Amino acid sequence: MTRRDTPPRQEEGRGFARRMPRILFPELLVYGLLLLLGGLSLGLAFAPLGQPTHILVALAIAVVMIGLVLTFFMDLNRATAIILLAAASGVIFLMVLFVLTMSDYLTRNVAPDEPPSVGDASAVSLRTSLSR
Amino acid sequence: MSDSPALARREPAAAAALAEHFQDLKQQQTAHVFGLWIFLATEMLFFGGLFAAYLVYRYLYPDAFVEAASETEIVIGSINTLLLLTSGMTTSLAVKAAGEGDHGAVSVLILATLVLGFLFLGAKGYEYVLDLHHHLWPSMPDFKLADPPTRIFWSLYWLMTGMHAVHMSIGLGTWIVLLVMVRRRSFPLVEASRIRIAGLYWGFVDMMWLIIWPLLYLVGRP
Repeated sequence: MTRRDTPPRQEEGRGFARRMPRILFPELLVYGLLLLLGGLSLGLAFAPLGQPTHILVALAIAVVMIGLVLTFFMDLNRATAIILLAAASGVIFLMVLFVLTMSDYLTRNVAPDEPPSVGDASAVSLRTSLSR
Repeated sequence: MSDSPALARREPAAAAALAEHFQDLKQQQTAHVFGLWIFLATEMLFFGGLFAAYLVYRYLYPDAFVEAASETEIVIGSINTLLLLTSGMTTSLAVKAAGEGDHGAVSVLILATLVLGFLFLGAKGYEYVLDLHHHLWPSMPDFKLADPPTRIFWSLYWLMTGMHAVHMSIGLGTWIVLLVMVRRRSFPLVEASRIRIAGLYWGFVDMMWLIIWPLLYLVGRP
């Protein structure tokens, strides 16, 4: 370990060339997969899928791509439990943010017959937009 | 860890790389990576606010969002996706080469990352010029689109891509510093935490673009 850290300059380059296949292996494969998925996502963007499906498909592919980046480029496949927990905490709190936010917006039109308060223009416009 | 390159060369690498409050290198590296992941979790929430705003307005004004998104530059956006994915691979390989103690390979891979990153920012800048030329700044009186909610989309466009570009710039700055340090042998590669941490940060920037790309570019296609 000590010797490898300070090798003579000349040997360094040749050493890398010799180790190349082992060094490149999972990364290059994952890169190829990412390009494939990216191309698929781009192709499907021009396919006539209809609007909600369209974005959902693109995001589903994005999630797979992010999974690959996390696992192989950000080394979560070799991470210890505490690091996995730290990484997961971000996602979990993100879920909380989305669920709490949408639990408001998705339930604003549950009582559509109730008239808005007098002069409340914003409520009227919101209701109109929601009913679209 | 020793700050002096001379000392790092003289001492056995592992001993020089180990800070005194850690038991061994493995523990030290885990602490570094753990700290960065905590930071990345807060970063996820930072971008998450923007994504939540997008979700809410996309839900409220679905048609306006699709109309507005059709004005983004899909070609430049997709080329940038390609550049970022490639740089994600080069950084990942740089981290790996650092683990092998290979100064030459680490330098080349960091340099490749820098080139790809600057190409990304260059393309982004060109795209911004095109956007302004097309009157797509949301507060412009002669904003291109008529439907008011399309301005919300374009506010989010500038915010998301702008914040992403800021993160890219920070990442590129970090890589420049690291490249100089690696060339000068300022730290022993046996303790490759600095490169690993920069690689993780870059991976995060990569990930955020993978969400921004469908939200802003892909969604508006026919």
